[in-house]
Amino acid sequence: MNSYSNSERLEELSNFFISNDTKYDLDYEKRMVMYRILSEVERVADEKKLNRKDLAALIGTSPSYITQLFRGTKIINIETIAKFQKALDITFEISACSNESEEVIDNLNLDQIYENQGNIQGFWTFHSFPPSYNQKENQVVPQESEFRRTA
Amino acid sequence: MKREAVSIDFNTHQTTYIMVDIQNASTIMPYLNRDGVDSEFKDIRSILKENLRNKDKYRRADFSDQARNVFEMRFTRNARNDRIYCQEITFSGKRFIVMVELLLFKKSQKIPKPTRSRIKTIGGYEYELLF
Repeated sequence: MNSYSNSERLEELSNFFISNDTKYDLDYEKRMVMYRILSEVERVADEKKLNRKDLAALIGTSPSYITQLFRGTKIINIETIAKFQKALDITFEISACSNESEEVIDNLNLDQIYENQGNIQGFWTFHSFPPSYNQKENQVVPQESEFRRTA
Repeated sequence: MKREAVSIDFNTHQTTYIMVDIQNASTIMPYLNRDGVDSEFKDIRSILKENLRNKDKYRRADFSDQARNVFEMRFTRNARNDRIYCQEITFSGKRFIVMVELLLFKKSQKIPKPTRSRIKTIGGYEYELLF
């Protein structure tokens, strides 16, 4: 079995995706717009304790169509978005920001993500990588002093 | 013994890091580079980096209190039904997702006993994070 234990291989891992991400991919962009909308649909549906079947019934479609949307195998249309708004009694707010600005999307809400998660197992420590490893520009490496166990 | 995980991606705000278990990277990384899987993984990474909800792409492998910190990435396009089990933890307002183990061709809806056992084991792993 190959080992990824040396720094060159680790750097390879780190660079693995960066080259892929720079290519413009319209299909990917379409899916991401859809996922942002569906994330809100899922959040509201969870709050209202609606499962996929309920959601499908509310907008007059099949559960498998909803699954196809969430899996990204089909792209949502405006009509379905409007149906979600009506069914869930919500309004999607639209805002835009420049990709160059600092105000990029970050929906991190740990309380929401870890709702009812309970205790977390495991013990984690941070280690900076050896100097040979090219750290990404502007990357902030958490210091060991920042460590605290959340459980 | 503590395992090691290396960061392979993170979001602009550096609040979410996607990492891979070094011991299993030789299995996981070539899989992620496969045609079709690469684009699906790009979607999953973006969903995680934007902290979006999508249970069809990433969800907790929720069956036991011993595995509350274990999540699964789901690869389902092109009649695939593969999973990457991940360990997730947060501290200092940051979220770290370590891809730990690849499971190919999940067949039954229920999680089979050996897989349950693996998930519990994954939940108990201790990590050193490399950046």
